[in-house]
Amino acid sequence: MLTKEQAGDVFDRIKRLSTGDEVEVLFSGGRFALTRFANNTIHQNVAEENHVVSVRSVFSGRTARAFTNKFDEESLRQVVRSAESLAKVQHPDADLLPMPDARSAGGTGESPVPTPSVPSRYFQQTAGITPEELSRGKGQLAGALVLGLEDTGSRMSRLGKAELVYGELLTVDELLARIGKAHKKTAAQVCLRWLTQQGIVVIPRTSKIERLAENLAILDFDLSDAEMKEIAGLARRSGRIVDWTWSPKWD
Amino acid sequence: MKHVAHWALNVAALRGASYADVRVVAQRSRALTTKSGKVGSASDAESVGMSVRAIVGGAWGFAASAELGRGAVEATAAQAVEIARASARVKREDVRLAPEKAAVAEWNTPYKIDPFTVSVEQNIELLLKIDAELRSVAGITLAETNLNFNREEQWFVSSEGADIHQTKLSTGAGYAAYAFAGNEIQKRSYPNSYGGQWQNKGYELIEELKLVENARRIGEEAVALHGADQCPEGKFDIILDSSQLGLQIHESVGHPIELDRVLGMEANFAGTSFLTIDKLRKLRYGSEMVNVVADARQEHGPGLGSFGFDDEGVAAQCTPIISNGLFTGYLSSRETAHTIGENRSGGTLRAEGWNRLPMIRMTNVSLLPGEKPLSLEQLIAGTDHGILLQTNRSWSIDDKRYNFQFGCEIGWEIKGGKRVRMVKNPSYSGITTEFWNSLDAICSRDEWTLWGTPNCGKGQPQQVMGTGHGAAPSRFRGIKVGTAFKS
Repeated sequence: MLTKEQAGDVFDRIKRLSTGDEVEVLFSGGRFALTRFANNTIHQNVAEENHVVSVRSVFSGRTARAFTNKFDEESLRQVVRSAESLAKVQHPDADLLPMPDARSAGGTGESPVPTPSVPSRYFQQTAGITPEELSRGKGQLAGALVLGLEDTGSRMSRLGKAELVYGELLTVDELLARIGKAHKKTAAQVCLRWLTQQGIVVIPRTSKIERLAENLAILDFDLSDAEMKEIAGLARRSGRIVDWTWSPKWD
Repeated sequence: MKHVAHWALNVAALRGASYADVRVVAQRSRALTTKSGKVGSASDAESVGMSVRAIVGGAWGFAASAELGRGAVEATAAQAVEIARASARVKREDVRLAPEKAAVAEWNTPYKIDPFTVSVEQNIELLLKIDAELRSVAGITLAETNLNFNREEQWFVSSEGADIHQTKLSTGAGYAAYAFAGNEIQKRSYPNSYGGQWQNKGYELIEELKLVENARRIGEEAVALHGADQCPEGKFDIILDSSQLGLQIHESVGHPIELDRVLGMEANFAGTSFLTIDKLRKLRYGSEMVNVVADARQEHGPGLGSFGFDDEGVAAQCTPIISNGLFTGYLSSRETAHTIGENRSGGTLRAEGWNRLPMIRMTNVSLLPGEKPLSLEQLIAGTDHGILLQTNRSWSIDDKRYNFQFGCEIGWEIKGGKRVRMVKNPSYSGITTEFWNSLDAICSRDEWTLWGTPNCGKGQPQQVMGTGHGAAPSRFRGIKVGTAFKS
């Protein structure tokens, strides 16, 4: 994977090669893997690693981009040359905004503007799943798809599979009960608090009025950072909160 | 680059692959557009990388990397093997590759002028000249032009001994004129809509297309459409120009014959297929006149589906798809050939780039021209009452490729063998086999054009591929014609 330092080095080299008024470098890429099923078997099982730089040069309101995934000196020289020659044939754009300076971009200025907080899309549960795990998951799906439509039996079957496949069952209930006891709350309330405390909107379902009251009574306590981490830590690769092969898309 | 491929091949073999192939690919592309007198987008892109396909325990694995250092290449090969081994745990049956003689070859797209040697300034000057011609017509409110060049150099080696170095080059260009009036938009494109004409040629294609010479006529037609009558509705004999027929072939012959769709392995973007295997050599696909081939050989022409070898090292071939109206062939690969009783792949496996798994793609799926001399004007003269439809504007086809509707940019009503009036917003619809069985006339070779479709999407992650479709204007009897885009 391209590190921040390596990306910084590529940017510095592009900046040195650039003769435009401004230059912008966008990095994209990373590791990608996909397992695709068809006809009840693995049809495609693929992985790739790639990084691309997009170089945008600006000359007096004229701008254009060029792309490369090679970072040697000659390739960077070529991509800068391409972006600049393409920019020069453009017509000046009166509406072209200047690039943000270091300060407004939250970079190396004296009073950087804080980067806005963006909810993480990283899920420990699905990070780095191996091809072997994927094929194991496929085996499970093939075995119990019909049974798996959210009836009690299939949930039991799911837990049983977690035991069989991952070799252990999680002590989710025990952990939640322990934390709940410290706050005089139920395990369900701890769950709801753990989510709302992260700014996640939660829509619990209940048909009992007392449960509704219980669900609402989560605003009078805070989980400590340690407790938050402890619950998040349940999402171990070797023992997921939800068996990912059965989980809905949000997992 | 060949040594890079061999590093990967050796590691795949050492790790237990029963078969492996490696592609090292370097791609370069340039895309230029203008919009109403200004340069629109201008970009250059380069992408280099390698990938490994490996079979272990009868199952496939695939891994790709842009890093071409020895360590990264060997790690990528090891990863492909690991993935294959995992896939093998849940296979239903072993992958069976049809035998293929290992080729050692060098192949290049024939061309006269390397388009990348033509300066960007010269390209832009041409596009702006076309743009000025289009907008010189009163009533044209928007003009768009495009030029595209692509080069792909590939080194392919396999554990069976194949060693192929292949360089493909393609060029594309086109433009569109729009006339807005009230709440109605009319559009004309040249030489074709959605990017113009694309072929595996050099810059000489641009010179052959006579782009500037046709711009004023195209602009005038776009404006004139506003004053034209709506296309009449009902059953008519229709004549399709060769570019619309090219897309008709793409959608209602090309996609349904992709064997991976037929077998249920692939459904993205174009669905599956009505052409189940039991129909092979039994289904009357079209009338006696219909002869369609999937021909990747250079002698078929400089189509986007022309090459020396596909991306699993199989030499370019010509497969009869429809022979005198009878359905006779599918697009196949080494893995799928046995499912239709063939002992050799049809050579259609291609990948968008180094980082994508090759899949069955159309090559040049073409309707062969009529054998008797017949020009478009003669065909019109021989038509009592019909509609001539030109240049695609929209397409819609069901996910089995059986029912379809197409809209065209312009139509001409024919009465008594003469074009009597321009009509706007024409569309036609039909059922695939009924439609092809209604074909009763195909113009001859001198009206035949090998069109390029540069934007065929398939797969997940999506791969965009260029395909070729040769066609000459043809007549279909009793087709349901309607009016699209009613204002």
